[in-house]
Amino acid sequence: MSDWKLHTPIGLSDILPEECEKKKEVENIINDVFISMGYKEIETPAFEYYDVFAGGSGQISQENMFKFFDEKGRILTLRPDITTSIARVCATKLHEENLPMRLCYTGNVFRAEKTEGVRQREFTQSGIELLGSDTPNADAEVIAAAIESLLAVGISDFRVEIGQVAFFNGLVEQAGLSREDTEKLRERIECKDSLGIKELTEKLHLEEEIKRLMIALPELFGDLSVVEKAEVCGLNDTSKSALENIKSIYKLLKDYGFEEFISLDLGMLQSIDYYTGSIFKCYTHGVGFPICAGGRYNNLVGKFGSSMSAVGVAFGINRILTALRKIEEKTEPTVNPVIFAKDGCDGAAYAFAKKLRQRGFCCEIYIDGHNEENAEEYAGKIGAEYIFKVGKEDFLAVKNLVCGDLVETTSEDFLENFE
Amino acid sequence: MQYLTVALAKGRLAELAMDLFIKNGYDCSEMKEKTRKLIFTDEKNKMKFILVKASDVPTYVEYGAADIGVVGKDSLLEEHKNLYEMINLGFGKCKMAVCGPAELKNKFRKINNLKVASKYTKIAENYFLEELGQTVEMIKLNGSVELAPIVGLSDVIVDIVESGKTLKENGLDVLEEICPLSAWFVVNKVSMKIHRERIMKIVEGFKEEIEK
Repeated sequence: MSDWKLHTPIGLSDILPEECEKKKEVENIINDVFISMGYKEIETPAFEYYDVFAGGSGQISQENMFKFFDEKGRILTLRPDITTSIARVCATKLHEENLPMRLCYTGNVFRAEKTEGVRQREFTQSGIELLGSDTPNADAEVIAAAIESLLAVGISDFRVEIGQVAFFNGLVEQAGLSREDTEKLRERIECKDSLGIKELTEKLHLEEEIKRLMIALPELFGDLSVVEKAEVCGLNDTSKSALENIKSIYKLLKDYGFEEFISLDLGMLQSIDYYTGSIFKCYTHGVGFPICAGGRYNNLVGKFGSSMSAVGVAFGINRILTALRKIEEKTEPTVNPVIFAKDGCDGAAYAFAKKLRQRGFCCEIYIDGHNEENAEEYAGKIGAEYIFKVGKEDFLAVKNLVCGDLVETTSEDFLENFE
Repeated sequence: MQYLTVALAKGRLAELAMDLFIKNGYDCSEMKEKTRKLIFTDEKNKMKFILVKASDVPTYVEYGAADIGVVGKDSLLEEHKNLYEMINLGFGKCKMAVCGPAELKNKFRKINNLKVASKYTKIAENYFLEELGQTVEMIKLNGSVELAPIVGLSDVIVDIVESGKTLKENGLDVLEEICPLSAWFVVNKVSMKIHRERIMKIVEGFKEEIEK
């Protein structure tokens, strides 16, 4: 038998200091962008009653959730996403707040998925939800926040694909297709298999115009001209307003100066039970999966008793780190200077370290005795640039371990000049 | 210009796929030579061709390790990856079927706890559970699946049938067809967006060739 105590479960991993430093940095940058745009941070529990995530309206199916029981036999679930929990909070606790409401979060989510490489069973998501506004400006703001975040973390070679599931839903409505046929068609369109769609539509007795549109859908991606191509006569109101909506979103983002990052894809039809309008995914070179995804989900909050329109986006922090690893030079991890206390000067050394820290400067205290040579050897080994030796009567020696320069001064003088 | 990487399912499909690429002006003639190399480059068109095990093609493409793949529908159904299945190339035609002793025809659906042996457990499970609503016992095998009913390991098998010759020689018959199979042209979702022009050019060329 394997010695399980030595391992982490499949799909879960430790994040070691070097990587963790980078991860927190990315999380903080993204969070700062959200905060600067007026989003308020929120936390929800790591596990909830299964009922919160159960049912058809969720994005994640039940076999992909970790479940366990509480002492009364109720089913609990490790959260597979955070948006659903936020929808619950909004409907039950924040429904009397002023709208629109802007919320952001960072947290770990859990999926019982077959894991291979980048697909983890526990991973960190950061995201925003903009609730209580159904305007294209809300969609555009969320997409803009996504773009600003990516630029802020240092990814500039990316593309946000924007789709509109209501357009397809309108076509289906008009053609009066059954749920089964709709799913077959959706699946072929999502696969961009135009020959397959052609075959299917021939069996379905569709109006000529709609048939042509369905077959064309896989290729309706690119700039604003795809909307023009989709604007044929005889569309119903659902499809028409969907096209108007995606056009407005595009134009707003163009006005914000983001045209180079966006393109449209009317054939993007994932999770159409969940999303009700715009849907977007962001891609970059070298990462085979979207690094962030989102859309409008006007029906989710209502599931918890108080309906509210909503649009949001979530980032996979791990995927962003993967993307960054591909474009960044490997950066050296930061090594803090070492503070060494001469015999009997522990208090003085601690006070000096504290003063440095209060000035926003990180440092570590040597804790293995008072032998100067050992301390220097240690500082050299970890790659510290400086060692500060604190002695009696405010004495301070600053040694640069790279060039060997030694300056003798008092800590008072040093801190004064340091300012 | 970045390289576009094409993952081909090793074997006959790779050869037929190569012919299509060659007809469209890509140079993968190097692959025609008998060699043990697994990666080939067309410098002129900035293309790389890699040979991988059929069932791994969807994985390479989903992860973006390959931008494009040519692989049988059986692997696509079994692996169930998130990618664009853009063209049914039409070659490598065969079918997925439930096979077994002829006397089970029209009867196997009524057997309680039917034992089903297959390399393609996902396809088999999906067929019995979702489509027929029949609870079955799945037995995963990795080869010579036809043996299973003969030696009593299972009642029926789910396997690829081409001519049916192997089945006949082992006293088995096709009991029910599950779906037709053939080679597909698949594309990674990100690559499609980032290399739109180059990929669509190949797609158009291939479609023309097929519709001829």
